[in-house]
Amino acid sequence: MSVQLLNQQIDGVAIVDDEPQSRKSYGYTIENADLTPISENGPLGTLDQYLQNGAVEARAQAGLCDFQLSARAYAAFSGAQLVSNWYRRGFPALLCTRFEKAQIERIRPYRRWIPVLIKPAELTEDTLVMGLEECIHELQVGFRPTRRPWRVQVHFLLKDEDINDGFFVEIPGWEPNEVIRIHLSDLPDDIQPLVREDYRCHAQANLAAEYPEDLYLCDWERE
Amino acid sequence: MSTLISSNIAPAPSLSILDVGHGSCCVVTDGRSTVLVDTGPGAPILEYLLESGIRELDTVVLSHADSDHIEGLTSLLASNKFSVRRVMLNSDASKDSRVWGNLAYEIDQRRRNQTLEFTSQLREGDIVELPGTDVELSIVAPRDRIVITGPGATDADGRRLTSNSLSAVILVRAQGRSYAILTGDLDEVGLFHLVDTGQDLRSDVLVFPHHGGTAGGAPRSSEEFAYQLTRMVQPAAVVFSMGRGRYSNPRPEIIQGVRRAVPAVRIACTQLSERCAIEVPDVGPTHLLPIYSRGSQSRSCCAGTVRIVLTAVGDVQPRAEGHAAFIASATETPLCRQATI
Repeated sequence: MSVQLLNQQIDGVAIVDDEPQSRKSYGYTIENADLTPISENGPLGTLDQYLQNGAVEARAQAGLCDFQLSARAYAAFSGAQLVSNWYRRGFPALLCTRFEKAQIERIRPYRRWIPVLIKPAELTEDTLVMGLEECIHELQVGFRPTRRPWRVQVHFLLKDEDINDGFFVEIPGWEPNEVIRIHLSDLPDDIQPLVREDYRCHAQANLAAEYPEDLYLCDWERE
Repeated sequence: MSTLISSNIAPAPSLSILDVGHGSCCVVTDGRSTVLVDTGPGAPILEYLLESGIRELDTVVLSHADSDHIEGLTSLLASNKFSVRRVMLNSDASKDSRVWGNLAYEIDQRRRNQTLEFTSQLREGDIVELPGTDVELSIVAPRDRIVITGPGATDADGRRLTSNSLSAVILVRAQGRSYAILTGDLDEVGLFHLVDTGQDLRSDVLVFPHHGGTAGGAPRSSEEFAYQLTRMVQPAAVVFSMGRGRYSNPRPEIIQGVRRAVPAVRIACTQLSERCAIEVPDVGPTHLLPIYSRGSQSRSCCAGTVRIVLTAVGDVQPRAEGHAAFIASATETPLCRQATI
């Protein structure tokens, strides 16, 4: 079983999820898409250990990965870390998770290297194949406008009193009425002490992102 | 050889009213020199410039200080991908908005690091040229007497001046002909002062103010506003730069006023108003120009980006026939086809 996406042959799809039942369920979807599920049963260890192993990339040509991977000591890394690392190695993968606002904040620092974020309820054989196509298109051809990085201004508005290192920021030129929360610990060490209300600096972001969960911020610049 | 020759010939200068969704951004260019009038929200102008291969902007004129007209310049300056020689705008102390502050920050950054000519005064009588061509942008409003008092004040007759009242209004001229008039977010008070100056504002195309939204008063006064403005300009076409799903523009009373003034006028909305079609069409339209339109992927365009060739009278693209066929097939209650009351 295999599928040709752009000029890339996809056969095996690695399933990385700490829930055995989810791995099984995703396996059916993958089979229905005429692809071969490769269940990663764990434990996977650290990210370096898992990636150095290289065994998955030898058996699979794509991946499907949950965000939370810590149950039962399945993996010592998050799905966002894995998918973004795979992307940098040219390996297409979808991050499939029931994302909520707090999770999005944790995914956002990696989102630049995660072309497709999908909810489990939306995963079908069609959306799986379309998602992999999106990934391969971005890896081979380049960014679509909604994913294209631009250097943008980031305007720090207000400290979030509810969490320790939260700060609300706006991205001028993105959605004018949207404010997003970031974690100062996600910023480079030399920028963190500079941040205060009304501080401005620059970063890379996909300015044409349509939804908050699609927006990424990376490559911060100290002003 | 022919490639070399053709590469040395700049295309005919044109004015494009970009489909940026809700907002306004007009590009006057001949491929070598480029002037922007307003810059819309953030990303669309960047995508347009990238797609068009334009990297250098001679002048950026901002009509007034609303986010849907200026945010693109903040993004443009922040991106560091484009050179901007000059920015012209009117200071606006009534706009203590974050949006204005964000733009001021980028202008200040660019001024510190590079050469950027910055003019914080824009008024009747100013001329902006498209270098190397005979195209000029002639500022016909605001007049001195309201620039001096500024937004937040009242005029001599006690009318309150807003940012919209002081919107720059610009005639795009070539070979002595006025091809288009760009009106920013001009409101009733601004129109009163514009009429009072007695200038000849007749133009082939009217880019309607405020995206076809209210002109500051009741529906009846918006209808009268549209009537007066359209009668004064006597256009062959009126363009509404608007976004589907935002503010339900253009408003029916505005269309009524336009049609009452010039019954045969062509009406072109950049996007498909939900007043005209509840759903977007199932298949992508074929009449759109092969240049950037924000709504093309989501099939939200009506006319999409509108281009006016500044050497040929009446050359407004996309052509009326293809656009009319799209309206006939994609809309149930097209405002532009409804009879005037």
